Amino acid sequence: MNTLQIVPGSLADVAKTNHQSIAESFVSADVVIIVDVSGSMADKDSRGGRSRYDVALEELAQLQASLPGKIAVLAFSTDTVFVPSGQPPMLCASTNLAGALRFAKPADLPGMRFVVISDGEPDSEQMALDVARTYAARIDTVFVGRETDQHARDFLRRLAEASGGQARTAAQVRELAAVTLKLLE
Amino acid sequence: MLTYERDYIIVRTRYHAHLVERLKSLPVGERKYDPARKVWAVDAKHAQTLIGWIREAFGVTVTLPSAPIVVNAIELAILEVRYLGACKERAGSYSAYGFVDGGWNALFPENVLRAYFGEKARAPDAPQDESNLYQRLGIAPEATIETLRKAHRRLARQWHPDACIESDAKERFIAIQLAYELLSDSNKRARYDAGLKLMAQSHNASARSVQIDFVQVGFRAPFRCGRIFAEGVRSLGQFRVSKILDWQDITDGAGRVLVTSWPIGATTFVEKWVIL
Repeated sequence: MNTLQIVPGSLADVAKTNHQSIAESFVSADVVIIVDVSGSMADKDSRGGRSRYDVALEELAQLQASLPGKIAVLAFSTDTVFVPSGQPPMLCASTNLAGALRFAKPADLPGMRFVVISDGEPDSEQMALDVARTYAARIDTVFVGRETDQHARDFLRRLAEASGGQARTAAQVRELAAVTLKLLE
Repeated sequence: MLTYERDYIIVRTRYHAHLVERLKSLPVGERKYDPARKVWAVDAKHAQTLIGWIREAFGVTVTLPSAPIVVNAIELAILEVRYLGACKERAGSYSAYGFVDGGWNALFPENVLRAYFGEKARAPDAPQDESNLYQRLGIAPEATIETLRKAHRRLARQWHPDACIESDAKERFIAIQLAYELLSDSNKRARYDAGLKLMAQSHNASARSVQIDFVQVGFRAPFRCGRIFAEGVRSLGQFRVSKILDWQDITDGAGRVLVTSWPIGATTFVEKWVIL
């Protein structure tokens, strides 16, 4: 996939259409999606034997097309990046979820919702939970690992509960867009 | 033929067309002809070049007395700048000329202008002023609502297409209105600030190992004219601004405000007084 591609409906796409800056287009966004792009997302156990990451790109594109200009995408591994183009890069390192939540904290404003999409356990569960508890907004979670990975699922459920959010599962990233849309209804 | 005067060199020779041509090839702020005394004043850093040119023109090798130690005192001045140009590269750094007292007698380095207009928090991906709403209104991100209102009122007056005839007056005016509309709504402003913050944090992460040197190209202050209270150094009849302390509109006794613009293709700027 072309790394410079701008996903239709992404903040960059809307900004381009409206001759705005990214920060201006962010004013109309009401969901921040924090997506895990750590090493395990390279596992080729998703639709058609493709990697979770590849399928996640498609599903995220579908989400942004369904809610144009409403979704801000952040991608995290060891570091976190804001991805206005809507197509997160594969960072392939550790799972610093606490860092990602700290990164997204400036957007914790009235009317904003957060969705964490992850397939695994973070570097430090306790730190991630501690940061989540500082949020005024609710953080929903979507687990995209193997359904049998009970520990990781439990963690994401606890993370959602820490801020009054809900936890869902889209096993191996299949149906990620549908599950997330349902969550945001 | 060559003597020091303050921090510059006075060139006193008989007329020589080729030498004059050479002198004129020096950057504008570094040489000046004094018609009263019929001499050229040249920045002292060109001493060796001057000696070479005089040898070439007259076949003589002149010597310079040892350079005087001159400390250029910082002065305070009120500059009535009737028109301020764009920043361009001049002798290795970026600066803009201001039209003061009938000539382009004031020099504003780009970093001095940026500092006054609160650009410390500028995102590295936005070297131009247009994309950032705060920069568009010439205010700092932490500006109060009162500062925002005042900046908007002044800019809207300067860029109103009825008064301003710069080629992009209408676009600028609309852009100023849009910026004000967004920033004057506290909820939208908070979201906008969050957007800026996320962008800046991303840059910090990706630029951690790379030192980004900002490209400074063509910065323009949001105002084209003003009564500017500044610190600076006077040299060769030019005031080189080192710090801007205040920037007011130019008004007349009748309570009107000066708006200046440079229409496309014109050879100079146009002044228009508008009622407050």
